[in-house]
Amino acid sequence: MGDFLGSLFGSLMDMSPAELVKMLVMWTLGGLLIYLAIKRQMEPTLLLPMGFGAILVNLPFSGAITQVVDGLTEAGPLSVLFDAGIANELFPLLLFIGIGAMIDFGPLLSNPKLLLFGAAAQLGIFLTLTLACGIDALFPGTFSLQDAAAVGIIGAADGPTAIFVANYYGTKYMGAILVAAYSYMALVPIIQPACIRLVTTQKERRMRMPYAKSGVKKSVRILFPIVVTVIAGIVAPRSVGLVGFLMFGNLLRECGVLNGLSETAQNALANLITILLGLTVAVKMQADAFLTPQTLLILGLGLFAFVFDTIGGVMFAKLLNLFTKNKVNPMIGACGISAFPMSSRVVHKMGLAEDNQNFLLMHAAGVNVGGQIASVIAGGLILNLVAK
Amino acid sequence: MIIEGLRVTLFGMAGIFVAIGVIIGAVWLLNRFAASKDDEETGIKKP
Repeated sequence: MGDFLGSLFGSLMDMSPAELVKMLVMWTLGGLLIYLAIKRQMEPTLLLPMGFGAILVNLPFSGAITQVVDGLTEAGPLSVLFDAGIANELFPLLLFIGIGAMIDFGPLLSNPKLLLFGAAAQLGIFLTLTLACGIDALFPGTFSLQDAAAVGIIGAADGPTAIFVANYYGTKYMGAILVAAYSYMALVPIIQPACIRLVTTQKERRMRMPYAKSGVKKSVRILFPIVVTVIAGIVAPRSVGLVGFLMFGNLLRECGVLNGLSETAQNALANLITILLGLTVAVKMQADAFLTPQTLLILGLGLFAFVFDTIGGVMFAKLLNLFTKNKVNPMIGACGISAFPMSSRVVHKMGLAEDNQNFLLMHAAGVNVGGQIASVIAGGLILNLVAK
Repeated sequence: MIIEGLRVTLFGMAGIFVAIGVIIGAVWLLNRFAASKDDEETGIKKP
């Protein structure tokens, strides 16, 4: 009987108590992510596969990841997928085709100055990078400059960009960075209103912004993705992959002659890559690498990044209002993060709560899509400025 | 390393604003080009 039980549960019995505790903690974390995805509907497309993947890779001697057993390497499917799509940056880039095909840049093209708020709202990325450097100065060995850059990119509020940059630097904190990035993206409806109220007055929040719908020529919609790719590629050459794939997806949408491909990119391609991406990034959520003091620190730094993204965008709007005749409601500055369309909906709701005749959605959506472009350019600039 | 971080912050934010500024200018030119193209076509269509 003892031999029988030993053969069934041998993998558990071979574990030390510490390993057992770590495994249970990761199962709990995986379960929490699944709960948040299903019950609270927080970013379910990523949190559910990540949560399930966290459980898969934290089973003893899990066959889902590559194991060395008696000197022989047994390839696990998640490790194979990781090498096939994440280690070579392929999955996030393919997902960007789908995201680009989903985006309507119309509100931005009719008022391109809204892009400035997208630029300002990337402040959190760089402040977080600097803060991580400061933490390393106090506690040497915590983060390298490359780790700090990978942590800072949480502030891009963009999953594929975070994966791309974190993987580029080969940071060992990739699991924590991705959990932080996706969790805070889902928490935008909680984080942003609090930050906006902190730095604005009620009078400012009540500022009305009339919206005059103006058409955008088809030629502009078609040329825009090409022009953006060229400009971003010249300013930040390493961003060409990110920006180029995003803009290619948008060109598929706007050209008007490839509706089938556009539909496929928006639906089948995006969904397929999302399934694989969510499961595969869990390879970096193995207990030994994930359960470190730095993980908690990264979760804190990620929150810092989101807070200062929001504050950066709002304060820039307030600064602009000092010099311009046509004032903007400073809340729309907060939409310069890449969390589309959640951030624009949050600001629109806040505007209506202050004044039920104040419709900010189109302005907020314009800033939000501008934030998508700005965050990708920011990612590319980080890759240029911080050597591997 | 803090100095490096500050350097990346300064150049990074400056770089984003430069890139965004150029894109804004390009979009403005595209909108003008598209509008003037329509004017020209209207001009050709006049008897």
